[in-house]
Amino acid sequence: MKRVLNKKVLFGLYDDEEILKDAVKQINKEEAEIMDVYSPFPVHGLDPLLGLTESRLHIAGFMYGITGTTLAFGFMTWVFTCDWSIIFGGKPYFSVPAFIPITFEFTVLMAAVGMVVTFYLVCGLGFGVENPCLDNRITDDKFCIAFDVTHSSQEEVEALSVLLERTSAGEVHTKDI
Amino acid sequence: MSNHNNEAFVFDGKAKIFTGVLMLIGVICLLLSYNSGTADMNHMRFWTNYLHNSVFFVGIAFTAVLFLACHALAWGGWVAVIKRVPEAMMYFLFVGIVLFGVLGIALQMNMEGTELLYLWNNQNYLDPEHAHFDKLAFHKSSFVNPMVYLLTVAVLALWAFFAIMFRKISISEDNTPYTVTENNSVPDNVKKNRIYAAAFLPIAGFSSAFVIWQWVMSVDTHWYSTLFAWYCTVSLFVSMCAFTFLIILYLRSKGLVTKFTDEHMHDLGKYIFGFSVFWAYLWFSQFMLIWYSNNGEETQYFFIRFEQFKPLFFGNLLLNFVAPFLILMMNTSKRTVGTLGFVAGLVILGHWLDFYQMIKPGVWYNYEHKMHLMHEDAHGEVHGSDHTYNLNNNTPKPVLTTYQDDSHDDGHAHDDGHAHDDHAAHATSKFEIGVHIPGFIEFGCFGGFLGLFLFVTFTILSKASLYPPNDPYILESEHYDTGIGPDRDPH
Repeated sequence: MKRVLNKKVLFGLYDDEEILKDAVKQINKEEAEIMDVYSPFPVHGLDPLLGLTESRLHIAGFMYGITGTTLAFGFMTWVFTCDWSIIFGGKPYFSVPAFIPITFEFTVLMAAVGMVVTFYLVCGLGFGVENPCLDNRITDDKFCIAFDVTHSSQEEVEALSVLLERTSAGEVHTKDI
Repeated sequence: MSNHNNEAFVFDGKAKIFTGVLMLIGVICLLLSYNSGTADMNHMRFWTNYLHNSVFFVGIAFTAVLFLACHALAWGGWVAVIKRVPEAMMYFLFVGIVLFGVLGIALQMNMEGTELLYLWNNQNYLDPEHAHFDKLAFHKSSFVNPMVYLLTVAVLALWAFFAIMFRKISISEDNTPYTVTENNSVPDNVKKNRIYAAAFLPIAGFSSAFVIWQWVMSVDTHWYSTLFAWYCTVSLFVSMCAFTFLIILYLRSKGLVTKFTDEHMHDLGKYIFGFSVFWAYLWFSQFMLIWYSNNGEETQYFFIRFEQFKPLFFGNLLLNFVAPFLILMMNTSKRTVGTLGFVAGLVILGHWLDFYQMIKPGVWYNYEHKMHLMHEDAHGEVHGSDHTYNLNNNTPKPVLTTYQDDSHDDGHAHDDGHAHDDHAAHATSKFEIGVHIPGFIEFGCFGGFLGLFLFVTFTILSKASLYPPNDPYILESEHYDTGIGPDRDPH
């Protein structure tokens, strides 16, 4: 399944993350609206430049974790005290220390799986989804700054191209995605 | 950056008076504790306080060496701006040599009270002819005895040797800039540092286990746990990180360590957070295996702590796991001075109490054990048979011991005149300030050792620049970035 965004994108490719960061600073200064920045690896200090706030993914993770804790602990408590009480090694039915390893593991499992699924859903990733890629090299060694120019006039696009070139972009292209 | 090249810390005035007053309080409290408690407690409070605080602070000095060695070997560059603090802390090892030398000699001389501190130092238990002959202690006495105990001082000296070498290499950099050529891309002092670090880690791994068995685990001579050494080391490591942070806060209040940023704080916070969780993991592993297998000779350690030391037992988990885990979970709290400082203080108190609950209940057990045996002597063999605890017997029996359930003895005490005193002491000593809960004297002794520790640390800190200008990692460290903070100019 090919995802179509119906967008026209103008993007510049950079060779180095420091040049990229300087470029973002320069573009911010000239108040052009960046659609997104793509890089083959996380660039330290880029998020605040782009005005990205802290991800809420870990809050979701905490919620999944707490759910796992409650489910595992509650289920074991219910089974061993109400539903099917069995004495293990002379321990009381409600043996908290014995529940802890399983509770812990289930918490981790829920948090991990929940976060992965959430991340995939939020980012539109997943099995069979083919997302558009501006240039294959941005998964390898190029850094990319992209502008959404779907509704821009020709003059605006040209101004943005000049801006990208001025900030030492190696290449500037447009692409419909 | 030339204005940062020489960050000199001057240790004088208020700081010196402060550490001096703390030490004075410590000495007074140690003297007070020497005469505290009933006569049959044999200065127990003094010896336990001495041992407890010595172990805690010497352990912190040891983990400071460990910290430096680990980062040297793992190429951890970010510590360069804070490395003078652990470097200074590790010099407490030299004080440790004196502290444990004194204790070792006291054990050797069988000084009054040391037989309660370590059950294996009571000659009566080791004498096969004696009525109190203790089979377990006797069999372990080839490993836990005063001679081997003094070996721990040799281990301390070995650690101190590494401490000197790390410090020497670090100081030598200050005046001699390193050179890098095409064939020799790693500076010589970094290489040397790595070699010493690589030698130190395995030595530290094995010897710290040996040392902690001797110092702490052998208090409960009848008991052992293979996890114990890791558990103690992690406890000390957390305290060391907390101390490092608090000392840096102090130095920063003096306008020093200017290159210490939120990023370094974040990493120290991560250490405190992560190792608190690891500590809880080890605590729980030790507890659950013993709880589950339910062997008498293993459970006695937790049994006495659970029955008689409940506030400590649970307070330990609350302070050292629940609090740092919940408070430091968020990134922002690791990057906030107030929050991290608060947690650092909390875990120092918590791990001090952790060692408290390792040592005091163990010694209290030794005391109750002695009183029990004396009580048995006074009543003949009558009670010997109805107690499971009788190591004089040839058939091995489970060692399930806490003497709280001795209530059936009370009836006999009153119709038996000559055992009355002992028994009265035994029966009334269910709750003892300074044993079941730390009293003012305990905190005073802690203050004393803290004063000594800070005195040594600050003295060493004042001897060299707090900013190592020629450390090969210093630029990496200055520009260190965890990636989530606001952007800083990389140049």
